[in-house]
Amino acid sequence: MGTASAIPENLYTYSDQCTRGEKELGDWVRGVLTPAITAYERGGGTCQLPIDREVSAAVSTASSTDTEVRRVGRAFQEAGSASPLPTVGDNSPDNLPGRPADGLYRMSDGALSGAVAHQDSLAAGAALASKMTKKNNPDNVDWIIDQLDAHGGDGYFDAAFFNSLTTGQIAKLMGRRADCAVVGDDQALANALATGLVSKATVHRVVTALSWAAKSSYDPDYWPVQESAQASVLQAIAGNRTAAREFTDLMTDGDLHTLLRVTRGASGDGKAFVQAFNLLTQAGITHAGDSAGEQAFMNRVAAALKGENLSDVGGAEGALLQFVSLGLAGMVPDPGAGKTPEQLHKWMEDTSGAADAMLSKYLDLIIKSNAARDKSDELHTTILETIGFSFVPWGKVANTGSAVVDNLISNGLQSGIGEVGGGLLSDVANAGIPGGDIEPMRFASLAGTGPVRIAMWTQLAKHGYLVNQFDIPVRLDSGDRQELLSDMSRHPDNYALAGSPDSLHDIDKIFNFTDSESQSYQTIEAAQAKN
Amino acid sequence: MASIHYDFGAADALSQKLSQLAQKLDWLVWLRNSQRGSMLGDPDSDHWSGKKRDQFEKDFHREQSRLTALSAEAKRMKSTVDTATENAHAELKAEQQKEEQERRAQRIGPPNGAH
Repeated sequence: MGTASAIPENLYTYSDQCTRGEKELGDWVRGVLTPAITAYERGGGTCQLPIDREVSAAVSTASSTDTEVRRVGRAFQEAGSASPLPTVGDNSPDNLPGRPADGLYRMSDGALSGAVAHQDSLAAGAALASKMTKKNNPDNVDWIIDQLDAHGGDGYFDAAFFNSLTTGQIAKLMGRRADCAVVGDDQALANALATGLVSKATVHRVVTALSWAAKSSYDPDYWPVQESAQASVLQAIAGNRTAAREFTDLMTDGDLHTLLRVTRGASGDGKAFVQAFNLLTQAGITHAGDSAGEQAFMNRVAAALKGENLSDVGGAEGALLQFVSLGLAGMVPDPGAGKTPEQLHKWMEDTSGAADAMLSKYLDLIIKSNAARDKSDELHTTILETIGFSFVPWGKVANTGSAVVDNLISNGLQSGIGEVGGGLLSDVANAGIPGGDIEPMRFASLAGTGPVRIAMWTQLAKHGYLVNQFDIPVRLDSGDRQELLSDMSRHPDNYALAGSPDSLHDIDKIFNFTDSESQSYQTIEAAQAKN
Repeated sequence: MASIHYDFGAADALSQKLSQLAQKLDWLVWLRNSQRGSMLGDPDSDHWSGKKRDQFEKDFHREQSRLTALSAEAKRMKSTVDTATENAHAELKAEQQKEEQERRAQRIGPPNGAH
């Protein structure tokens, strides 16, 4: 998607000057030219061409084009991001997001089209924001919330509304409806984000307001926010994958770092942190199919967490594991069609190596958080619960495996596990974790590489490298699975799924992986013996 | 009395208006061009760039061509009206001359020897 930029004030000037000229000419044609033509024709003259009508039509068309220029300018101002954007930490009041230092705004072409097409909603949303108090007036905030509810579902209205608020006003909304609406059950902020029209400046303000739950601020706009508001806001955004991706993309690296610091909670319950990671996980899933994008995203999150210690944050390890596991799976690239066994083996080695390298960036954090809490059993359970029920959103996985490449794949995957495991062992040794009761291989085989293996199979199955060997259970009761089935019916050639949905195994079986593998190996051995 | 039906006043007025129309169209074309150059800049500049700008450029050039063509058409129509007026003047003059000749003939009376 391309990026558009504009200086709205210039667009307004162009539009206003030209449409004024066009109106004057249109009025003159109607008021002067047409009567002159009528009089001429009544007086015996003949006009071959109805030039007045032709001119009116041409001027009207030009006027429409030039009026649209103003709408575009307004869309930039209502939904674009002011430029230049500062890095977070630059407290110069003249350089805050949203303050167009040089009048320049930027936004994607797609968002611009949406903004122009929904200008009435945008104008209404901005108008509502202009009626919101900046003082302590709970009645006003309640009224605003009622109005916002009345426009429930209109993401464009919501986007312009949020884009027009100050950080303090956003904090007031969070404070008033910490456990439910605005950024809870009415999904206003999530709806707004999903339109792609929330500005980068607004996201920065939302993160800043969230940070006010963790600490007070000397900002004159400061308004206290409850800790519960953080989890509520982030849960609402995480519930809409498009919104989660948009929110994540619009955060500066500084915003992301802030978010992951301020959501830990004074009480250490980690609820908001877990929701923040759920949000990041949902955003990460949207990168599936874009190996480089997924890798860049994971690197970005790793950088935001560098040097952090999450040992006192409840639920951190589970949230991290879910994020990392799905992220590693999303990094698995397409091997391409028509590859030789040697090329596939190289692909597996490269994929495993990339997963290993990425894992190492998170490993210390995960292990330390778990080591400090010393709840390896709980960790295991968390893996089962959090990973097992949400993997394969892109899951084009099937009961498959060709006799020719089965052995290769089995060996390759084992080799992949070995490589990842080696990295883990090395990292654990270097980390010098006391107690020695950590089982990195358990993590590697279940969390680290389970989804990666599934993703590898997915990619291999896509090109028909796998036929009838491994049984990969697929849950069919969620929207993702329905999408999967729908995609399967549209693109049957992309899948090698065998059997009806009824024959698919229970989700728990995925975790009896050793048994499944044994079965598969036996099948392979039997097939080889037969041959 | 001449029988030609042509409103010379209306014709002169229309001729003048068509001349003004051409000027106004030329002015609008100039206004849009100059505003586009000064306010919007090049299509790839930060003044305004992106898909919407690209679409605007296509529409703008098509519309400018149309407005320019209509200006030329207004000038042609003015010439046509002026020619029609000259023709009507000539026709009127010819008719008036004919009537004058007929009146003279009536005043002189019939030739000698006629009864």
